[in-house]
Amino acid sequence: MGADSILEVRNLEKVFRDRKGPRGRLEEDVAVRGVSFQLERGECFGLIGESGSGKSTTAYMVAGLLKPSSGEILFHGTHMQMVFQDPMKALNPRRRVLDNICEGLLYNRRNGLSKTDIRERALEAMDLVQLDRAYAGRFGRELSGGECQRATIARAILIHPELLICDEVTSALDVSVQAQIIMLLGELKKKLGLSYLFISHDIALVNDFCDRVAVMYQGKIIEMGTTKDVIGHPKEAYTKELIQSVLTL
Amino acid sequence: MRKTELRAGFMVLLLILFLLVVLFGRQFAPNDPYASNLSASNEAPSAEYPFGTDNLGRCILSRVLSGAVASVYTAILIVAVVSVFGTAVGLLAGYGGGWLDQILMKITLVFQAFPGFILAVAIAGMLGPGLKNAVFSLVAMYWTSYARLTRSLVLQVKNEAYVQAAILCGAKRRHILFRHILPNIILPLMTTAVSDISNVILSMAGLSFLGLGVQAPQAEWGLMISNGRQFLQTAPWAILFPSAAIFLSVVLFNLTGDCLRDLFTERGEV
Repeated sequence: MGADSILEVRNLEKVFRDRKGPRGRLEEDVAVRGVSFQLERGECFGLIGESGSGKSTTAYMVAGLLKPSSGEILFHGTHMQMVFQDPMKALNPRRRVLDNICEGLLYNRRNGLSKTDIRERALEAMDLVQLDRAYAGRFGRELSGGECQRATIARAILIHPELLICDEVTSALDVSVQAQIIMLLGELKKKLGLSYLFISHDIALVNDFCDRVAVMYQGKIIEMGTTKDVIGHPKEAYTKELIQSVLTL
Repeated sequence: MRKTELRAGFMVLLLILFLLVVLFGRQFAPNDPYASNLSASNEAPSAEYPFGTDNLGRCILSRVLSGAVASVYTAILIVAVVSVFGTAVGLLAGYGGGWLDQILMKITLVFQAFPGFILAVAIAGMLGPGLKNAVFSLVAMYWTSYARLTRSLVLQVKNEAYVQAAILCGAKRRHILFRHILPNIILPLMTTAVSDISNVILSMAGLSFLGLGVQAPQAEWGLMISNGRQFLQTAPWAILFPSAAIFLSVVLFNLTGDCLRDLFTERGEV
């Protein structure tokens, strides 16, 4: 594996076990099987595929929100954060925007920051994601989808993560807002030296934003390489089909 | 202001007024609620005794006002206890999951296997009559609904993205429960609690009516109805006024609960 990698994922597997049917028989559903990839520092790595292909499950396992059934996840950094698909649901509706953003540092008090310091940093993070400070005292429901997503990005970058996992961050947004969020992520990458694990089913977006990409199908990575190679010259029939479907649309 | 907001505001105001009347009603009682006057027994409503008197010649208005505290505030206390206890059990079961959930929910099921009031009567009967035992039996009867409701609400909320985000930010279990989950499920629990007060008032009156709740000579609406039923033909006011008091309080708590539910549903908070 590369010497400067921030994340190494080896043979990751996730099996969901559930009792189904009238007899309550235990059934297994393999969501992710044998997924391996690595992410270099400062790189943007895309995971693409249709719904149910295991992209988000992989992202949740990498983030530590889901326990893998087997495999290894090696994170060579101090902090990773995640930005979620639906920005409206990613902010606690009972807490104001600034309080939501402060969460990024609030629980990690070993940093010696007082609550005032954390609030000040949260306001600076709002500036960084170009979210007007006037929104600090509002609730998520009073903001647009794009503004909410900026707030969740501000929360995610507050702790200065090396890796940001973006799980379909634009799919719940309008096309014009999608472009703004992608531009913002690009700017943050330059300013903060972030690495991205970018989950999306939007191939055009991944083509523009990611350095390398992996195509997932039925829980497995079927093709991986530079974005130019995979999207420009796909080898697998499924990847061709996926790209073709975008072109047809 | 919208119609539902106005209606909920009006009902809450009315309820507060009612609770103040209940709290300070005793000060305005025209007579001593415990003073018997056998020469004036079963007297019809008059200027001296606006609601009449019972078989021992005690002023029914004074007893209705005096008994309100025992009936209404005890019900509020019971609901407060069951909602806190039931919510805590539901939070643990819903968020903890696994074996903890299994054990807590099985215990809940055991309590729910008995018809509610029968369980309360059985417990109060075993422990003996008295206010304390009646309260205990009603707590045993009512906590399960809060545990189950809270558990189902927690299951809805615990996988929301803001909870996941908090976990990623390093939030501990107590932060997740008290900052993220509880504030987002408290409104449906509150509306249920307000509506439940009326059920508890009825159950409390039922226990007292059966002689398992508040004991004589203390004034309590259920007990007053129980005493008055022997004189239903000759002195119907002995039953009429405590029944009206129960009816009024039940309707008031139910309507307020409904109005709050409508309001929160309209705002998308329930």
